Amino acid sequence: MNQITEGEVGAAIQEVFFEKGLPGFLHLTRFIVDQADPEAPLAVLQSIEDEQVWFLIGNPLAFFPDYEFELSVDTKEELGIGEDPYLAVWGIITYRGSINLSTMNLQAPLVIHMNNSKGKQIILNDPRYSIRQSIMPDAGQEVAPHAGS
Amino acid sequence: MLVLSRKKGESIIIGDDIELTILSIEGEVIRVGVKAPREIAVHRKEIYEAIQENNKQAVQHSKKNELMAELLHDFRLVQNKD
Repeated sequence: MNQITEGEVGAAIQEVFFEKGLPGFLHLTRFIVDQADPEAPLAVLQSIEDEQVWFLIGNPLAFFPDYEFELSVDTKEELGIGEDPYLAVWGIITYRGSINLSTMNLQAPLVIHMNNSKGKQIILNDPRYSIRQSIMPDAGQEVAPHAGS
Repeated sequence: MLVLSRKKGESIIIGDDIELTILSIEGEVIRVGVKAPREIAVHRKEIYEAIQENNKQAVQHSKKNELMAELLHDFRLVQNKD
């Protein structure tokens, strides 16, 4: 399951397994992370089981350098995370026609344990972070009110 | 839906491993304690639903290559401004 292969034009494609699926898509567990441009912190998360389901995802740290969170014990167990893990973190982007209008879900990032390709969408419950955080550099505000804390 | 009445301090057990306890009742706010196995996630409903909703809204319907190219283009424009 742990395969990173070269696709077209130097693209990196990785198959990942979300044992519990994603909220709203609990039945979809197998995905591909397709990073078209390795220099840009943007990629596609494509469902293998349902080709209609795919998301734009971005590396939150590239847009929000202060972004931080801790992993709970159950998340670490579920993803088989021990000492010194190699993790990838992605935020699901809601693209609304231009980057100015687009938002990233910082409240529920995708965490992928690269050593075993297991992933999970975790819910942070951190009032600092919004489900719809505007990704424009100057806009520190969320676009729409986020769900109650 | 099963409806049970509980007073402060009383509990409900779900299955063998999940226990809800009414910790306090202050006006309209009820504090509920939840004991559950680690592998069972527990969330406030409105937060879970908001994430479900956002995931569903985020699913893309455009052609992947075109949308990705557009986003990368926007991103590089923003990068070059800095």
